[in-house]
Amino acid sequence: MKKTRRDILIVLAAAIVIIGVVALLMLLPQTHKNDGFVTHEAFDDAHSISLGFSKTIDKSVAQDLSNYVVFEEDEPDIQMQPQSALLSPDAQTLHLRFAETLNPDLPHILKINNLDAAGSVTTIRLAQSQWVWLFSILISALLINNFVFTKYLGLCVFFGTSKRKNTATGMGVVFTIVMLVSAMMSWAINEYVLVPYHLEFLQIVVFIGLVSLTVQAVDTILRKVNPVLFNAFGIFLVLVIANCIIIAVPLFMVSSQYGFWETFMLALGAGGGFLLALYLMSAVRERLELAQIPESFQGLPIAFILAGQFALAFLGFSGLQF
Amino acid sequence: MRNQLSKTGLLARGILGENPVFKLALSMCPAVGISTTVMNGIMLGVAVIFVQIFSSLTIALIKNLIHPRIRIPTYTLTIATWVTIIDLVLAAFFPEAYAKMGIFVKLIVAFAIITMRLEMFASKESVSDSIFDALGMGIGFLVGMVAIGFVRELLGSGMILGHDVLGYKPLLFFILPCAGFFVVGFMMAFFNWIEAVYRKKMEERT
Amino acid sequence: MSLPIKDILNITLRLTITCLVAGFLMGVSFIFTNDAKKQNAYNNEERVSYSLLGYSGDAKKPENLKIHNVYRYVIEDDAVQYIAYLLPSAENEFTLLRISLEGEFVDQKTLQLSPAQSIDAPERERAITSALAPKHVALRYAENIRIVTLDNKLNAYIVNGAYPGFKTHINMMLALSKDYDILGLEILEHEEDPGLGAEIEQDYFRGQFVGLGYERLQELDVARKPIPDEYVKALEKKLADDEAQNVLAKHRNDDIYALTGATVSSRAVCNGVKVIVKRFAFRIQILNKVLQNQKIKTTFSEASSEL
Repeated sequence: MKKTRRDILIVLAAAIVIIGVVALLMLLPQTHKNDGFVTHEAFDDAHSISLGFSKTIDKSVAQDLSNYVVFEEDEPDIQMQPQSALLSPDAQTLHLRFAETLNPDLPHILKINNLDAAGSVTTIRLAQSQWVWLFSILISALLINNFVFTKYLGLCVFFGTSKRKNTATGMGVVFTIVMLVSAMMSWAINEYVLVPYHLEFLQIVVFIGLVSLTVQAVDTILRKVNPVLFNAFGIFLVLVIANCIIIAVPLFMVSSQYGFWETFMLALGAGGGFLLALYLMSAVRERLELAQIPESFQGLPIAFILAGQFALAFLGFSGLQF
Repeated sequence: MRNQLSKTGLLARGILGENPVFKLALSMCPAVGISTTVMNGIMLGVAVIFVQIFSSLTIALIKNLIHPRIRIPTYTLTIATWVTIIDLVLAAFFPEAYAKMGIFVKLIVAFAIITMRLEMFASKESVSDSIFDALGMGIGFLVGMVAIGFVRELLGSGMILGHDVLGYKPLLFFILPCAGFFVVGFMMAFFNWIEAVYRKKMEERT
Repeated sequence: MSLPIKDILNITLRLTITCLVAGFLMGVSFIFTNDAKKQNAYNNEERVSYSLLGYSGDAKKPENLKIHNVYRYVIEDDAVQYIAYLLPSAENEFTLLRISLEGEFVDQKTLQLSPAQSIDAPERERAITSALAPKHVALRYAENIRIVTLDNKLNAYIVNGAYPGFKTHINMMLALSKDYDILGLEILEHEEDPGLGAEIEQDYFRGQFVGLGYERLQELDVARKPIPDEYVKALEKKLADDEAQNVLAKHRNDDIYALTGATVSSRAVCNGVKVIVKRFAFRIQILNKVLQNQKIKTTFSEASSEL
């Protein structure tokens, strides 16, 4: 029995990883393509931009600073010109230096006149690639803004199910799956029904309704399709609905105006973060059983203090940047 | 099965015997998350009291109309409705308080304590008893939040309700987000200890 | 498991009725609270504006002090971007002024908007899009600039802005004199850590910006050393007036003292203030030039010659 349960866990974890990878692969063609012959564009630091070209460019054009203009995508009227433009000896890479401090986290537009041919305007969009952005959402939800240790959500279920490693992983996996399904449905309903018809005030009801619906659906399907799996995980399904993370994620999605993939990564990170927190906590609590704890601290008090120490440790992740 | 307690007994049970924060350890998220000041505790406590009373009242009134198979969905819907209404009212008329409480007002909808009271009490007992039970539990939550907030605000910033009482800041640590776990843990241990001492005394006497 | 059909119908009926009643209740409370929410949010911003100018508590605002709300938009029309300003021109009337990215006048249109409609973002956008019809345009709200006049003379500007902090954006509101010196700073919204970054709200931090001139601001930096005690007392208004003046004068040319354990948040506010003031000064000069050249009438026309 124990062995089958472990196998099931591995299969489920693998399924989540595969879904994540497929999701990322589907994004590949969406990455932004720039104007023809520009092969590379990036911020070196807050004062310089480097560009690569597929053909050699004219030195006199490249060094005429009045040919360049850079602005933040959201502030098109604040236009900046570089202080210097350095062309490499092979005439295929260009380094622009700016006196102003640019913010590499924001998308910028760079316009160059006469570069391709006389009278042409080459428009280059400098932005963080979508991959990096999505990955940063995932890592943020998983570690930096871990829902349990830095946002203090889902604590009732967290303390209830972190006594044993088996229960902890079971709960974490079931929660992640329900989280993903309900968050995606919430996104769709919010995007195509609530927002267009100005029904935003119904968000709480709709989101909690979708969670109940998902839990019920998973319950029914699992019971019919795979009774073994249901016996292993059925008990956790009821607990999912009492976990405030499951309602906090759609609310967070709304306030950050996330799109489909962003919501997907947020839900994956939130579920994964919960799983991680549960696993860490249960690993320590199993050992605590062997420790001598003062009588008044036994049970929940010591668990809270433990969680506090984890929270302190997770504080170290804040400020992590890409 | 009628409830045996008087109205004051119902109130006292929520505040002391079955305090939702310290005894039942339910609805811990806000107790850790936003209990940095006494004022935050009072504001969220009042919001919870409102939701609990109105939900209990609604369920106690319509308990005979609820089909037993859709009991839980009806509770969820009732709570969600009242949370939405409180959320809208707070956002409109108390924007500053609302901004401080952030997402936690909306999260009242997932508080286990409210559903539990509806299932265990309001769906079985009379309307007036349900209101007192709800009031007791709500006040119990408020007292728990205020107690944690008191410790954190006093030790963290040397203030009570925004008034400087100590004149200096003893330990900045207590106002840091993660200190909520420690404060709750130590307070629970403290109450356990008092209870143990009290029980011992009673045993010695008999 | 299986239920008789009668029971299923019964349950469905009850659930539907419950949902309808709940929806009705929520809808009614939404209608009742929505207008109040908008009005209160607007009043709150106005109250903060007045307090930044020094009119709060006992200090009543003068009768002739007026705030003129100007809204800036970025408009994309046939792949060409413009900066658009919605300027109050008379009672219930606004002028929509379009300026090219290079700062040249493009066109102007008159819109009818009541004061209540003008504080409602969707109403404003509807009015602008219908004024620009039939062309298809993309509209993006950028900011709300408040021009403050006293006896029809230019008194101050109130500017809003946001800058990325340690966690999320820090929203701030600045009061500037007509020479772009800082008169006051208020932190409106932020999610910095309580006890650390959240201290940016405190008087002793915000106060360090008050009185900084435009030139000084451009080279302002954050100093990572403890703030002198007397300076904190002076900024928190715990010293006698003349003594406080002395202390403030002594530290006038200091950099901004970083908050303990929150250098990132301190630097974010400092950089944010710099960027907001610099961009504002740049834009308001262009706007003023266009207003003067085109002789556009606004409710602050008399003051705009001094803009």
